Amino acid sequence: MRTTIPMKERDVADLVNDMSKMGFQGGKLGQSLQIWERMLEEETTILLGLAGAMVPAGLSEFISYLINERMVDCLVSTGANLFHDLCEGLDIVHYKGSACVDDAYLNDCRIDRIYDVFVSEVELHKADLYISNFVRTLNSNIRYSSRELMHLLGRDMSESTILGAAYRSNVPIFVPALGDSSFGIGMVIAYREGHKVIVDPIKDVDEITQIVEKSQKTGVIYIGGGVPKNFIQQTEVIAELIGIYSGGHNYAIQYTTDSPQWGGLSGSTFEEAVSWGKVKKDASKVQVFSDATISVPLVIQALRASGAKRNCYPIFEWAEDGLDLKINKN
Amino acid sequence: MRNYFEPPGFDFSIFEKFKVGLLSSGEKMEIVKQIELSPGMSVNSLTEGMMHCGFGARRLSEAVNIFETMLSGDYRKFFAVSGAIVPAGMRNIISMLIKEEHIDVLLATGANLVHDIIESFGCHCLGPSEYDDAALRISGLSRIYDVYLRDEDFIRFEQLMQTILPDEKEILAGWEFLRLLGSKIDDDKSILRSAYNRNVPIFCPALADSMIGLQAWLHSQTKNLHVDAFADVKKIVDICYQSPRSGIVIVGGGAPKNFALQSMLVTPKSFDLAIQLTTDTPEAGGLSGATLSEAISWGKISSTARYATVYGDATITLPLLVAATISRIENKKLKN
Repeated sequence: MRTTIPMKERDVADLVNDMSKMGFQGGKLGQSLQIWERMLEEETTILLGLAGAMVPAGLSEFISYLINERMVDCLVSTGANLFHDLCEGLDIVHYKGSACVDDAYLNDCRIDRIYDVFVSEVELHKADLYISNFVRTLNSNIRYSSRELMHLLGRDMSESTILGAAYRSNVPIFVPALGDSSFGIGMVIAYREGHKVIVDPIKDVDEITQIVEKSQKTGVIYIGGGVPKNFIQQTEVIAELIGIYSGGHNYAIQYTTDSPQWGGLSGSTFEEAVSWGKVKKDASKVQVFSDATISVPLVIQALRASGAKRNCYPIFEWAEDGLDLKINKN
Repeated sequence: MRNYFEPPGFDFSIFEKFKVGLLSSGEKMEIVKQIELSPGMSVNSLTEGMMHCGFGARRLSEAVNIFETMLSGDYRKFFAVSGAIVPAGMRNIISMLIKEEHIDVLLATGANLVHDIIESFGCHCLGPSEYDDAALRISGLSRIYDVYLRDEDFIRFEQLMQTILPDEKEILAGWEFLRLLGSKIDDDKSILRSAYNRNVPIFCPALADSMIGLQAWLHSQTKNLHVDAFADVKKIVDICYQSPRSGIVIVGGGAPKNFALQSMLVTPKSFDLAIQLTTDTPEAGGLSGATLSEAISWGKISSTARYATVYGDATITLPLLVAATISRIENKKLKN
C-alpha cells in the first residue's frame, strides 16, 4: 500500500483515518483510531488507563467526553489527574506559564510548576481541605474501595469534570495509588484528627477483576503507562490464576513517549504483554510513541467528528455479593 | 475449595522447559547473575559483571566484547562521532584511540573538529544547564547545554583559522584539507593533530556546516581554497573496498553514521562488527535512531555481523566502553 496520502480539504476524522496509511508514528496514530472505533462496535468493556499530568495539560474535558459518550467504560487513573480534575471543578484552574523560569521565584510567589503549566499553591491547599472535609462525611467503619470513594466525590461535581461525568454515567474510577497524591494528603489530615477512613487496595483489585472476568471482551487504552497500565494489565494474570481466563485483552492501544529498551513496564511493547498472557496474541493492538498531549486530542476529536457511536455498553451494578454486569443495547 | 494455583486443565509441564532454561527454539538461556560490586574494582570487572545482567548493562558489556574483538583482530576500524562530545570533554578519548592505532578511519561532525581546535589554545567551561540565555549573549557567552564558551575563544579560533588555512591552487579533498589543518595544530592531545601524525583520514561529510566551513568561505574570498566534497566519497569507498573485514563504532548518529554506512553499501562488503551509542530511538523512523538490524536489510552491516546498540548518553557510555576495552587489550599484551 502506498504511504503518500492526498492533500485535500478534510475534517480531523478523515485526516487521522487517512494517516493510518502513513509510515512511522503518524500511521500508528491513524491505526489507533480505527482500533478504537472497532471496540465501540463490539460488545467490549473498554478500560482507560490515565497517567501523566494530562489534566493540568488541558485534557480533562476530553476525558469527560469519553466517559459521557461511553467511549470508555472504566477509568483507572493516577491520583494526581483526578485531584487536578477536582480542582478544575472547584474553579481552581491551571494556567499556561513557561518551562524556563526562576523556580525559586515561583516558590516565593507560591506558584507550583508542572513543566510549562502553573497553578496556585494557595488554591491547591483549598482543594486539599475540600478532600479532608469530604472524608469527614464518610463512615469510618466501612472499608471503601477507591471506586466507591471517587463515586461519592463525583456527586457534587459538574459533568464537564471527569469525576462528575463518571458519577452521572455510572463509570467506575479506580485510583490504585490513591495515597500517592493529594488525596493521600487530604485524607491524612482527617486521619490525624481521628477520622480514620480506610480505603482497601485489595478491594480495588477484586472489583476491577470482576469487571474483566464478567466481560465478554475487553479493550484497553493507555494514556501513558505507570500504575494505571499495570493495574489493568494484571487483571488478566489474576483471571488466569482463578480459572476464568479468556486469553488476555482483545484490543490494546497505548499513547506514550516511553520506549521499550529500558526494560520498564510503561514503555514495554504489547508483544511483551502477549508473553505474559495479558494481551491476546491475535489482539488488535497498536502503540503510538509520541507525546499524548499531541496524539490524544487528535484521536478523541476524530472519534467525535466521525460520529462513531457505541452500539452497546456494559452497565455495572455493585452489590454486597459482587458485580452484576448487564449490557445496554442501543 | 478450589485450588487457585492449579486451575482445572492447566498444563504444568509448560514450566518444565523453564527449569532447563530453553526457549521455544531450543536455545538454552543464561541465568541472570546478580552483579557484585567491590571497592576499587576496575571498569573492566564492572562491565564483566554487567555481562550477566539484563537491559542496558548487558548491551554495554556486549559492546565491550565487540570492541575488544575489533581492536585485537584484523579489522579496519571506523569511528563515527556526532553530538557535541568534544565540548563535553571526550576529546582525549578519541585522540588517544587514534594514537594507540585503535581508529583507522574517523568520521566526525564539523563542530567536534572546531571544538578540537578551540581546546588546542582555549577551553570550555561548566555552568548551569538552564540560564537566562539573553543575558548570556550580552556577557559574551555561548551555551551548549551546561558547557559554556567565551566569545574570546571564538575570536582566537577565527584568527588562527585565517593564518593556518591554505592558499592553494590545487583542489583538495575534504580529508586532505583536514589533514592540512591537523598539521598546523600544535597540540598532541588534538584529534586533528593525532590523526595527522598517525596518517588517519578524517571525513567530515558536512564540513561546510560548521565554523570551519564559515572560516573557509571567508578565506576563499581573498585566497585560493577549493575543496571537493565528492573526492571524499571516492577515498572512503576505496578504503571500504580494500578492507577485508571492518568494524565500526557509532557515537550518536547523524551525517557521520550515514556517511560510513552508505560508503560500505556501495561495495560488495559490509561491516562485520558494529557498536552504536545513542539516546535516539527507532520509533520516529530517523536514521540516527534506526536499529543496526535495519542496516542489515540495506546490506550496510553483514547479516552475520556481531552488533550492539547501547541506549544512553554517550558522555556516560563512551568512557565506560573505551576504558573497559583498553584495559582488556593491555592485559592481553602483558600476558603475551
